[in-house]
Amino acid sequence: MRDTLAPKAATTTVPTSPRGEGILIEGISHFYGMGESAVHTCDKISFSIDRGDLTTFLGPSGCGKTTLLKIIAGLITPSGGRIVIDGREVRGPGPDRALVFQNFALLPWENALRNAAFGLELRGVPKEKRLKAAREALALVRLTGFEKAYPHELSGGMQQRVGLARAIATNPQILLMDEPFASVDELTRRTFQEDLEKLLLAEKKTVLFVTHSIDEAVYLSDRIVVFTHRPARVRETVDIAFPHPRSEVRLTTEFLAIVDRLWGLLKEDKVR
Amino acid sequence: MKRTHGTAGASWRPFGLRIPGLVAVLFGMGVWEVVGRLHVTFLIPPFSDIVLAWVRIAGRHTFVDSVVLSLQAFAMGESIAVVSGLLLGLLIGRYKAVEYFFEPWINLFMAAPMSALVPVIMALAGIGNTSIVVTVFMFSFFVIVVDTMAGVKHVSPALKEMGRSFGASKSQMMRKILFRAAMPEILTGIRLGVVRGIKGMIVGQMLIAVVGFGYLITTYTYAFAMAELYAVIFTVLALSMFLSEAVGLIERRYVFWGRR
Repeated sequence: MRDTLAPKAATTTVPTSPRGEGILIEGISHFYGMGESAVHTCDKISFSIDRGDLTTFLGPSGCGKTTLLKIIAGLITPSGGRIVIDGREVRGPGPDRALVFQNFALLPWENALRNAAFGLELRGVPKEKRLKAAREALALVRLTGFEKAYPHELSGGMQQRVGLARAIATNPQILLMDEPFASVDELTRRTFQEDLEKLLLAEKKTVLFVTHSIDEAVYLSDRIVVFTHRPARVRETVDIAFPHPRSEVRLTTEFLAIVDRLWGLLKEDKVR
Repeated sequence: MKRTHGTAGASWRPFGLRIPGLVAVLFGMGVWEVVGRLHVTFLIPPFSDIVLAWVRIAGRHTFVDSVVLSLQAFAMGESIAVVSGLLLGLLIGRYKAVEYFFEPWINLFMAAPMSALVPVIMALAGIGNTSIVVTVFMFSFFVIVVDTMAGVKHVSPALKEMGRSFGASKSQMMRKILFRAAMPEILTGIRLGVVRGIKGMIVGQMLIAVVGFGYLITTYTYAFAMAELYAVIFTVLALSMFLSEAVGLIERRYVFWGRR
Protein backbone atom coordinates (compact mmCIF):
# COMPACT_ATOMS: atom_id res chain seq x y z
CA MET A 1 0.00 0.00 0.00
CA ARG A 2 2.70 2.40 0.97
CA ASP A 3 6.16 2.21 -0.34
CA THR A 4 7.84 4.60 2.04
CA LEU A 5 7.99 2.10 4.83
CA ALA A 6 10.89 0.30 6.35
CA PRO A 7 11.19 -3.41 5.60
CA LYS A 8 8.85 -5.67 7.50
CA ALA A 9 9.82 -6.68 11.00
CA ALA A 10 12.95 -4.71 10.66
CA THR A 11 15.59 -4.27 13.30
CA THR A 12 17.38 -6.76 15.40
CA THR A 13 20.13 -4.24 15.94
CA VAL A 14 20.54 -3.08 19.49
CA PRO A 15 21.39 0.58 19.73
CA THR A 16 22.95 1.33 23.08
CA SER A 17 23.32 4.63 24.80
CA PRO A 18 26.93 5.50 25.52
CA ARG A 19 26.66 5.44 29.33
CA GLY A 20 24.54 2.30 29.48
CA GLU A 21 21.62 4.37 30.77
CA GLY A 22 18.01 3.82 29.87
CA ILE A 23 16.21 0.61 29.09
CA LEU A 24 17.59 -2.05 26.81
CA ILE A 25 15.25 -4.66 25.39
CA GLU A 26 17.39 -7.47 24.06
CA GLY A 27 15.91 -10.21 21.93
CA ILE A 28 12.79 -10.68 24.02
CA SER A 29 10.68 -13.66 23.01
CA HIS A 30 7.69 -14.98 24.83
CA PHE A 31 5.23 -17.84 24.58
CA TYR A 32 2.05 -18.26 26.58
CA GLY A 33 1.32 -21.84 27.53
CA MET A 34 3.16 -25.02 26.69
CA GLY A 35 3.66 -27.35 23.76
CA GLU A 36 1.67 -27.08 20.57
CA SER A 37 -1.04 -24.85 21.99
CA ALA A 38 1.51 -22.26 23.07
CA VAL A 39 0.83 -18.77 21.79
CA HIS A 40 3.76 -16.86 20.46
CA THR A 41 3.32 -13.32 21.80
CA CYS A 42 6.71 -11.66 21.38
CA ASP A 43 9.29 -12.54 18.78
CA LYS A 44 12.91 -11.47 19.36
CA ILE A 45 12.06 -7.87 20.16
CA SER A 46 15.03 -5.57 20.50
CA PHE A 47 15.22 -1.81 20.91
CA SER A 48 16.31 0.71 23.47
CA ILE A 49 14.63 3.50 25.36
CA ASP A 50 16.34 6.68 26.44
CA ARG A 51 16.06 7.98 29.91
CA GLY A 52 13.43 10.70 30.33
CA ASP A 53 11.59 9.80 27.14
CA LEU A 54 7.97 8.90 26.82
CA THR A 55 7.88 5.88 24.58
CA THR A 56 4.62 4.46 23.33
CA PHE A 57 4.07 0.84 22.37
CA LEU A 58 1.54 1.02 19.58
CA GLY A 59 -0.04 -1.99 17.97
CA PRO A 60 -3.29 -3.80 17.31
CA SER A 61 -5.21 -5.11 20.32
CA GLY A 62 -3.81 -8.33 21.67
CA CYS A 63 -0.57 -8.04 19.73
CA GLY A 64 1.66 -8.70 22.72
CA LYS A 65 2.61 -5.13 23.64
CA THR A 66 1.13 -5.46 27.12
CA THR A 67 3.08 -8.70 27.55
CA LEU A 68 6.27 -6.83 26.70
CA LEU A 69 5.38 -4.11 29.22
CA LYS A 70 4.80 -6.71 31.92
CA ILE A 71 8.10 -8.37 31.07
CA ILE A 72 9.79 -5.00 31.59
CA ALA A 73 7.82 -4.62 34.84
CA GLY A 74 9.29 -7.95 35.94
CA LEU A 75 5.87 -9.57 36.31
CA ILE A 76 6.40 -11.99 33.44
CA THR A 77 9.60 -13.92 32.81
CA PRO A 78 10.36 -13.95 29.08
CA SER A 79 11.02 -17.24 27.28
CA GLY A 80 14.13 -15.69 25.79
CA GLY A 81 16.17 -12.48 25.86
CA ARG A 82 16.65 -9.99 28.64
CA ILE A 83 15.79 -6.52 29.86
CA VAL A 84 18.58 -4.29 31.10
CA ILE A 85 17.84 -1.08 32.99
CA ASP A 86 20.77 1.25 33.62
CA GLY A 87 23.17 -1.62 33.12
CA ARG A 88 21.37 -4.05 35.42
CA GLU A 89 19.34 -7.01 34.25
CA VAL A 90 15.69 -7.17 35.34
CA ARG A 91 14.91 -10.22 37.46
CA GLY A 92 11.57 -9.18 38.92
CA PRO A 93 9.58 -6.16 40.01
CA GLY A 94 11.63 -3.40 41.61
CA PRO A 95 11.23 0.01 43.22
CA ASP A 96 12.71 1.70 40.13
CA ARG A 97 9.52 0.88 38.23
CA ALA A 98 5.82 1.41 38.95
CA LEU A 99 2.89 0.15 36.96
CA VAL A 100 -0.42 1.84 36.16
CA PHE A 101 -3.09 -0.71 35.33
CA GLN A 102 -5.68 -0.73 32.60
CA ASN A 103 -8.43 -1.67 35.06
CA PHE A 104 -7.04 0.55 37.83
CA ALA A 105 -6.54 -2.36 40.29
CA LEU A 106 -7.59 -0.30 43.30
CA LEU A 107 -8.46 -1.82 46.65
CA PRO A 108 -12.24 -1.37 46.95
CA TRP A 109 -12.11 -1.41 50.76
CA GLU A 110 -9.67 1.49 51.05
CA ASN A 111 -10.22 5.17 50.33
CA ALA A 112 -8.33 7.14 47.68
CA LEU A 113 -5.64 8.27 50.09
CA ARG A 114 -4.88 4.79 51.38
CA ASN A 115 -4.98 3.40 47.87
CA ALA A 116 -2.49 6.02 46.73
CA ALA A 117 -0.29 5.09 49.70
CA PHE A 118 -0.56 1.35 49.13
CA GLY A 119 2.58 0.96 47.01
CA LEU A 120 4.59 2.62 49.76
CA GLU A 121 2.79 0.57 52.41
CA LEU A 122 3.93 -2.63 50.72
CA ARG A 123 7.46 -1.26 50.78
CA GLY A 124 7.27 -0.73 54.51
CA VAL A 125 7.23 3.08 54.54
CA PRO A 126 5.92 4.37 57.92
CA LYS A 127 2.32 5.55 57.98
CA GLU A 128 2.86 9.30 58.42
CA LYS A 129 5.40 9.43 55.65
CA ARG A 130 3.47 7.40 53.14
CA LEU A 131 0.21 9.27 53.72
CA LYS A 132 2.05 12.54 53.17
CA ALA A 133 3.52 11.27 49.90
CA ALA A 134 0.10 9.95 48.86
CA ARG A 135 -1.52 13.30 49.61
CA GLU A 136 1.06 15.05 47.44
CA ALA A 137 0.62 12.52 44.64
CA LEU A 138 -3.15 12.98 44.75
CA ALA A 139 -2.62 16.72 44.47
CA LEU A 140 -0.44 16.17 41.40
CA VAL A 141 -3.22 14.24 39.68
CA ARG A 142 -5.72 16.92 40.75
CA LEU A 143 -7.64 14.82 43.25
CA THR A 144 -7.24 17.02 46.31
CA GLY A 145 -10.50 16.88 48.26
CA PHE A 146 -11.22 13.28 47.25
CA GLU A 147 -8.82 11.64 49.73
CA LYS A 148 -11.66 10.09 51.73
CA ALA A 149 -13.65 8.85 48.74
CA TYR A 150 -13.80 5.12 48.06
CA PRO A 151 -13.19 3.77 44.56
CA HIS A 152 -16.86 2.91 44.00
CA GLU A 153 -17.72 6.55 44.66
CA LEU A 154 -15.31 7.80 41.98
CA SER A 155 -15.70 7.90 38.20
CA GLY A 156 -13.49 5.71 36.02
CA GLY A 157 -11.22 8.62 35.16
CA MET A 158 -10.82 9.56 38.80
CA GLN A 159 -10.11 5.96 39.75
CA GLN A 160 -7.34 5.90 37.20
CA ARG A 161 -5.94 9.13 38.64
CA VAL A 162 -5.73 7.33 41.98
CA GLY A 163 -3.93 4.48 40.21
CA LEU A 164 -1.50 6.98 38.73
CA ALA A 165 -1.04 8.68 42.11
CA ARG A 166 -0.22 5.31 43.68
CA ALA A 167 2.52 4.80 41.11
CA ILE A 168 3.88 8.35 41.39
CA ALA A 169 3.89 8.24 45.20
CA THR A 170 6.54 5.53 45.10
CA ASN A 171 8.72 7.95 43.13
CA PRO A 172 9.83 5.50 40.46
CA GLN A 173 12.32 6.33 37.72
CA ILE A 174 10.22 4.51 35.22
CA LEU A 175 6.47 4.71 34.90
CA LEU A 176 4.86 1.80 33.09
CA MET A 177 1.36 2.49 31.85
CA ASP A 178 -0.76 -0.32 30.46
CA GLU A 179 -3.51 1.22 28.33
CA PRO A 180 -4.38 3.51 31.24
CA PHE A 181 -7.12 5.34 29.38
CA ALA A 182 -8.74 2.33 27.74
CA SER A 183 -11.51 2.10 30.35
CA VAL A 184 -12.49 5.78 30.50
CA ASP A 185 -14.69 7.83 28.19
CA GLU A 186 -13.31 10.00 25.41
CA LEU A 187 -13.75 13.35 27.15
CA THR A 188 -12.08 12.16 30.33
CA ARG A 189 -9.42 10.60 28.21
CA ARG A 190 -8.55 13.92 26.56
CA THR A 191 -8.30 15.90 29.80
CA PHE A 192 -6.37 13.09 31.38
CA GLN A 193 -3.89 13.05 28.48
CA GLU A 194 -3.34 16.77 28.85
CA ASP A 195 -2.91 16.46 32.61
CA LEU A 196 -0.49 13.60 32.17
CA GLU A 197 1.52 15.63 29.70
CA LYS A 198 1.82 18.56 32.14
CA LEU A 199 2.66 16.25 34.99
CA LEU A 200 5.39 14.49 33.05
CA LEU A 201 6.90 17.79 31.95
CA ALA A 202 7.25 18.70 35.61
CA GLU A 203 8.37 15.29 36.88
CA LYS A 204 10.71 14.16 34.11
CA LYS A 205 10.31 10.44 34.27
CA THR A 206 10.94 7.70 31.79
CA VAL A 207 7.52 6.53 30.69
CA LEU A 208 6.49 3.45 28.76
CA PHE A 209 2.97 3.71 27.54
CA VAL A 210 0.93 0.97 25.92
CA THR A 211 -1.96 2.01 23.71
CA HIS A 212 -3.81 1.10 20.57
CA SER A 213 -4.92 4.69 20.02
CA ILE A 214 -2.81 6.33 17.32
CA ASP A 215 -3.91 9.83 18.24
CA GLU A 216 -3.01 9.27 21.87
CA ALA A 217 0.38 7.88 20.90
CA VAL A 218 1.26 10.85 18.71
CA TYR A 219 -0.05 13.33 21.24
CA LEU A 220 1.99 12.01 24.16
CA SER A 221 5.11 10.35 22.83
CA ASP A 222 8.68 11.30 22.17
CA ARG A 223 8.99 8.02 20.36
CA ILE A 224 6.50 5.47 19.10
CA VAL A 225 7.40 1.83 18.67
CA VAL A 226 4.97 0.22 16.27
CA PHE A 227 4.43 -3.52 16.69
CA THR A 228 3.17 -6.10 14.26
CA HIS A 229 0.27 -8.37 15.11
CA ARG A 230 1.00 -11.48 17.17
CA PRO A 231 3.73 -12.43 17.54
CA ALA A 232 4.78 -8.85 18.23
CA ARG A 233 7.83 -7.67 16.36
CA VAL A 234 9.07 -4.13 16.03
CA ARG A 235 7.52 -2.83 12.82
CA GLU A 236 9.01 0.60 12.97
CA THR A 237 10.19 3.21 15.40
CA VAL A 238 8.91 6.75 14.87
CA ASP A 239 10.29 9.80 16.65
CA ILE A 240 7.84 12.60 17.39
CA ALA A 241 9.51 15.98 17.62
CA PHE A 242 6.65 18.37 18.45
CA PRO A 243 7.40 20.58 21.41
CA HIS A 244 5.35 20.13 24.59
CA PRO A 245 2.67 21.08 25.51
CA ARG A 246 0.95 19.78 22.44
CA SER A 247 -2.70 20.71 22.91
CA GLU A 248 -2.34 23.20 20.03
CA VAL A 249 -0.72 20.68 17.74
CA ARG A 250 -3.53 18.17 17.51
CA LEU A 251 -5.05 19.62 14.35
CA THR A 252 -1.95 20.70 12.48
CA THR A 253 -1.18 19.02 9.17
CA GLU A 254 2.13 17.69 10.50
CA PHE A 255 0.34 15.97 13.40
CA LEU A 256 -2.28 14.52 11.11
CA ALA A 257 0.36 13.39 8.65
CA ILE A 258 2.06 11.33 11.33
CA VAL A 259 -1.27 9.90 12.48
CA ASP A 260 -1.99 8.97 8.89
CA ARG A 261 1.38 7.39 8.41
CA LEU A 262 1.00 5.27 11.56
CA TRP A 263 -2.48 4.31 10.50
CA GLY A 264 -0.99 3.07 7.24
CA LEU A 265 1.58 1.01 9.10
CA LEU A 266 -1.04 -0.65 11.29
CA LYS A 267 -3.50 -1.16 8.46
CA GLU A 268 -0.96 -2.83 6.25
CA ASP A 269 -0.26 -5.27 9.02
CA LYS A 270 -3.95 -6.11 9.34
CA VAL A 271 -4.33 -6.69 5.61
CA ARG A 272 -1.30 -8.88 5.39
CA MET B 1 -20.28 -17.70 45.16
CA LYS B 2 -22.97 -15.13 45.01
CA ARG B 3 -25.55 -15.46 47.68
CA THR B 4 -28.22 -13.02 48.60
CA HIS B 5 -29.44 -12.24 52.03
CA GLY B 6 -32.67 -13.88 52.90
CA THR B 7 -33.11 -11.35 55.64
CA ALA B 8 -34.06 -8.19 53.82
CA GLY B 9 -37.57 -9.54 53.29
CA ALA B 10 -39.87 -9.38 50.33
CA SER B 11 -41.75 -6.17 49.97
CA TRP B 12 -45.45 -6.17 49.25
CA ARG B 13 -47.29 -2.89 48.90
CA PRO B 14 -51.04 -3.20 48.58
CA PHE B 15 -52.57 0.13 47.52
CA GLY B 16 -49.13 1.69 47.89
CA LEU B 17 -49.16 1.12 51.63
CA ARG B 18 -45.97 0.13 53.36
CA ILE B 19 -46.57 -2.85 55.56
CA PRO B 20 -43.86 -3.76 58.03
CA GLY B 21 -42.56 -7.34 57.91
CA LEU B 22 -43.66 -7.81 61.48
CA VAL B 23 -47.28 -7.87 60.29
CA ALA B 24 -46.61 -11.17 58.48
CA VAL B 25 -45.25 -12.65 61.69
CA LEU B 26 -48.21 -11.41 63.72
CA PHE B 27 -50.58 -12.78 61.09
CA GLY B 28 -48.94 -16.22 61.35
CA MET B 29 -49.25 -16.12 65.13
CA GLY B 30 -52.92 -15.18 64.79
CA VAL B 31 -53.64 -18.14 62.52
CA TRP B 32 -51.79 -20.40 64.97
CA GLU B 33 -53.86 -19.00 67.83
CA VAL B 34 -57.17 -19.66 66.00
CA VAL B 35 -56.16 -23.20 65.00
CA GLY B 36 -55.09 -23.84 68.58
CA ARG B 37 -58.38 -22.54 69.99
CA LEU B 38 -60.32 -24.86 67.64
CA HIS B 39 -58.69 -27.79 69.49
CA VAL B 40 -57.95 -29.66 66.27
CA THR B 41 -55.21 -31.62 68.00
CA PHE B 42 -53.40 -31.33 71.30
CA LEU B 43 -50.17 -31.13 69.27
CA ILE B 44 -51.07 -27.54 68.42
CA PRO B 45 -51.81 -25.54 71.55
CA PRO B 46 -52.95 -21.94 71.12
CA PHE B 47 -50.07 -19.55 70.56
CA SER B 48 -50.86 -17.64 73.72
CA ASP B 49 -50.33 -20.86 75.72
CA ILE B 50 -46.85 -21.12 74.24
CA VAL B 51 -46.06 -17.56 75.26
CA LEU B 52 -47.35 -18.25 78.77
CA ALA B 53 -45.33 -21.49 78.91
CA TRP B 54 -42.23 -19.55 77.90
CA VAL B 55 -42.81 -17.03 80.68
CA ARG B 56 -43.32 -19.92 83.10
CA ILE B 57 -40.18 -21.89 82.24
CA ALA B 58 -37.85 -18.98 81.40
CA GLY B 59 -37.10 -18.29 85.04
CA ARG B 60 -36.43 -21.90 85.99
CA HIS B 61 -32.94 -23.16 86.75
CA THR B 62 -33.19 -25.98 84.23
CA PHE B 63 -33.98 -23.54 81.45
CA VAL B 64 -31.35 -20.95 82.33
CA ASP B 65 -28.69 -23.62 82.88
CA SER B 66 -29.58 -25.23 79.56
CA VAL B 67 -29.25 -21.98 77.68
CA VAL B 68 -25.92 -21.12 79.31
CA LEU B 69 -24.51 -24.61 78.77
CA SER B 70 -25.65 -24.66 75.14
CA LEU B 71 -24.23 -21.24 74.39
CA GLN B 72 -20.89 -22.13 75.96
CA ALA B 73 -20.55 -25.27 73.86
CA PHE B 74 -21.67 -23.38 70.78
CA ALA B 75 -19.29 -20.47 71.34
CA MET B 76 -16.37 -22.84 71.85
CA GLY B 77 -17.05 -25.04 68.82
CA GLU B 78 -17.95 -22.12 66.60
CA SER B 79 -14.85 -20.07 67.40
CA ILE B 80 -12.60 -23.03 66.68
CA ALA B 81 -14.48 -23.60 63.42
CA VAL B 82 -14.18 -19.96 62.36
CA VAL B 83 -10.46 -19.63 63.12
CA SER B 84 -9.37 -22.96 61.69
CA GLY B 85 -11.82 -22.80 58.78
CA LEU B 86 -10.47 -19.41 57.82
CA LEU B 87 -6.87 -20.55 57.98
CA LEU B 88 -7.41 -23.71 55.99
CA GLY B 89 -9.59 -21.89 53.46
CA LEU B 90 -6.92 -19.24 52.91
CA LEU B 91 -4.22 -21.88 52.46
CA ILE B 92 -6.30 -23.99 50.07
CA GLY B 93 -7.19 -20.92 48.05
CA ARG B 94 -3.57 -19.85 47.85
CA TYR B 95 -1.50 -23.01 47.48
CA LYS B 96 -2.15 -25.67 44.88
CA ALA B 97 -0.48 -28.38 46.97
CA VAL B 98 -2.73 -27.75 49.96
CA GLU B 99 -5.71 -27.69 47.64
CA TYR B 100 -4.70 -31.02 46.15
CA PHE B 101 -4.58 -32.78 49.51
CA PHE B 102 -7.57 -31.21 51.20
CA GLU B 103 -10.15 -30.35 48.60
CA PRO B 104 -11.54 -33.89 48.03
CA TRP B 105 -12.02 -34.31 51.77
CA ILE B 106 -13.62 -30.93 52.17
CA ASN B 107 -16.04 -31.70 49.35
CA LEU B 108 -16.82 -35.08 50.87
CA PHE B 109 -17.64 -33.58 54.24
CA MET B 110 -19.60 -30.73 52.65
CA ALA B 111 -21.90 -33.28 51.02
CA ALA B 112 -22.01 -35.68 53.96
CA PRO B 113 -25.10 -35.81 56.16
CA MET B 114 -23.33 -34.67 59.30
CA SER B 115 -25.89 -36.19 61.65
CA ALA B 116 -24.69 -39.63 60.55
CA LEU B 117 -21.27 -38.77 61.93
CA VAL B 118 -22.54 -37.80 65.34
CA PRO B 119 -22.34 -41.35 66.76
CA VAL B 120 -18.72 -41.50 65.59
CA ILE B 121 -18.00 -38.23 67.35
CA MET B 122 -19.62 -39.66 70.45
CA ALA B 123 -17.41 -42.75 70.26
CA LEU B 124 -14.30 -40.60 69.88
CA ALA B 125 -14.99 -37.74 72.25
CA GLY B 126 -17.18 -39.49 74.80
CA ILE B 127 -20.57 -38.64 76.15
CA GLY B 128 -20.17 -35.12 77.37
CA ASN B 129 -19.79 -31.50 76.52
CA THR B 130 -16.65 -32.13 74.43
CA SER B 131 -18.75 -34.07 71.97
CA ILE B 132 -21.15 -31.17 71.65
CA VAL B 133 -18.27 -28.81 70.95
CA VAL B 134 -16.89 -31.19 68.32
CA THR B 135 -20.31 -31.56 66.74
CA VAL B 136 -20.77 -27.79 66.50
CA PHE B 137 -17.32 -27.63 64.91
CA MET B 138 -18.03 -30.40 62.41
CA PHE B 139 -21.30 -28.85 61.31
CA SER B 140 -19.85 -25.39 60.90
CA PHE B 141 -16.24 -25.86 59.78
CA PHE B 142 -16.58 -27.04 56.18
CA VAL B 143 -18.84 -24.34 54.81
CA ILE B 144 -16.44 -21.74 56.21
CA VAL B 145 -13.50 -23.47 54.52
CA VAL B 146 -15.31 -23.72 51.19
CA ASP B 147 -16.46 -20.10 51.14
CA THR B 148 -13.09 -18.73 52.24
CA MET B 149 -11.36 -20.85 49.62
CA ALA B 150 -13.73 -19.65 46.91
CA GLY B 151 -13.23 -16.07 48.04
CA VAL B 152 -9.46 -16.28 47.79
CA LYS B 153 -9.62 -18.01 44.42
CA HIS B 154 -11.86 -15.34 43.00
CA VAL B 155 -9.69 -12.39 43.96
CA SER B 156 -9.12 -10.43 40.76
CA PRO B 157 -5.82 -11.29 39.06
CA ALA B 158 -5.26 -7.55 38.56
CA LEU B 159 -5.12 -6.99 42.33
CA LYS B 160 -2.61 -9.80 42.76
CA GLU B 161 -0.53 -8.45 39.91
CA MET B 162 -0.68 -4.98 41.44
CA GLY B 163 0.57 -6.38 44.73
CA ARG B 164 3.41 -8.20 43.04
CA SER B 165 4.40 -5.16 41.00
CA PHE B 166 4.82 -3.12 44.17
CA GLY B 167 6.88 -5.89 45.70
CA ALA B 168 4.37 -7.44 48.13
CA SER B 169 5.85 -10.23 50.24
CA LYS B 170 3.96 -13.52 50.61
CA SER B 171 2.56 -12.49 53.96
CA GLN B 172 1.61 -9.01 52.72
CA MET B 173 -0.15 -10.58 49.77
CA MET B 174 -2.12 -12.81 52.12
CA ARG B 175 -2.95 -10.23 54.79
CA LYS B 176 -3.33 -7.03 52.84
CA ILE B 177 -4.80 -8.28 49.59
CA LEU B 178 -6.20 -11.82 49.49
CA PHE B 179 -7.75 -11.87 52.95
CA ARG B 180 -9.35 -8.46 52.56
CA ALA B 181 -10.57 -9.07 49.04
CA ALA B 182 -12.09 -12.41 50.06
CA MET B 183 -13.94 -10.81 52.98
CA PRO B 184 -17.41 -10.86 51.37
CA GLU B 185 -17.23 -14.61 50.83
CA ILE B 186 -15.60 -15.22 54.20
CA LEU B 187 -18.40 -13.44 56.06
CA THR B 188 -21.02 -15.32 54.06
CA GLY B 189 -19.26 -18.54 55.05
CA ILE B 190 -19.26 -17.55 58.69
CA ARG B 191 -22.94 -16.63 58.61
CA LEU B 192 -23.83 -20.00 57.11
CA GLY B 193 -21.42 -21.67 59.52
CA VAL B 194 -23.17 -20.10 62.50
CA VAL B 195 -26.56 -21.39 61.39
CA ARG B 196 -25.13 -24.87 60.80
CA GLY B 197 -23.33 -24.74 64.12
CA ILE B 198 -26.58 -24.19 65.97
CA LYS B 199 -28.04 -27.14 64.11
CA GLY B 200 -25.02 -29.18 65.21
CA MET B 201 -25.46 -28.04 68.78
CA ILE B 202 -29.07 -29.24 68.93
CA VAL B 203 -28.38 -32.52 67.10
CA GLY B 204 -25.43 -33.20 69.38
CA GLN B 205 -27.37 -32.41 72.51
CA MET B 206 -30.18 -34.73 71.51
CA LEU B 207 -28.13 -37.64 70.20
CA ILE B 208 -25.01 -37.67 72.32
CA ALA B 209 -25.62 -36.21 75.68
CA VAL B 210 -29.09 -35.28 76.72
CA VAL B 211 -28.11 -31.85 77.95
CA GLY B 212 -28.95 -28.22 77.27
CA PHE B 213 -31.67 -27.56 74.73
CA GLY B 214 -31.55 -31.23 73.82
CA TYR B 215 -32.48 -32.11 77.39
CA LEU B 216 -35.36 -29.62 77.43
CA ILE B 217 -36.70 -30.78 74.08
CA THR B 218 -36.49 -34.45 75.01
CA THR B 219 -38.06 -33.93 78.42
CA TYR B 220 -41.00 -31.87 77.20
CA THR B 221 -41.59 -34.19 74.25
CA TYR B 222 -41.85 -37.26 76.45
CA ALA B 223 -44.09 -35.38 78.84
CA PHE B 224 -46.30 -34.26 75.91
CA ALA B 225 -45.92 -30.74 77.26
CA MET B 226 -46.47 -29.22 73.84
CA ALA B 227 -46.65 -25.57 74.90
CA GLU B 228 -43.32 -25.84 76.73
CA LEU B 229 -41.78 -27.76 73.84
CA TYR B 230 -42.74 -25.03 71.37
CA ALA B 231 -41.48 -22.40 73.78
CA VAL B 232 -38.05 -24.07 73.73
CA ILE B 233 -38.08 -24.50 69.97
CA PHE B 234 -38.95 -20.85 69.43
CA THR B 235 -36.14 -19.88 71.78
CA VAL B 236 -33.69 -21.83 69.64
CA LEU B 237 -35.09 -20.30 66.46
CA ALA B 238 -34.81 -16.80 67.88
CA LEU B 239 -31.25 -17.46 68.98
CA SER B 240 -30.29 -18.81 65.58
CA MET B 241 -31.84 -15.87 63.80
CA PHE B 242 -30.26 -13.37 66.15
CA LEU B 243 -26.74 -14.78 65.65
CA SER B 244 -27.05 -15.04 61.90
CA GLU B 245 -28.43 -11.49 61.74
CA ALA B 246 -25.55 -10.26 63.86
CA VAL B 247 -23.06 -11.66 61.34
CA GLY B 248 -25.23 -10.28 58.55
CA LEU B 249 -24.97 -6.85 60.13
CA ILE B 250 -21.18 -7.05 60.21
CA GLU B 251 -21.33 -8.21 56.61
CA ARG B 252 -23.35 -5.20 55.46
CA ARG B 253 -21.21 -2.82 57.48
CA TYR B 254 -17.92 -4.20 56.34
CA VAL B 255 -18.59 -5.12 52.75
CA PHE B 256 -19.82 -1.69 51.76
CA TRP B 257 -18.27 -1.76 48.32
CA GLY B 258 -20.66 -4.40 46.99
CA ARG B 259 -20.15 -7.94 45.93
CA ARG B 260 -18.26 -8.86 42.83
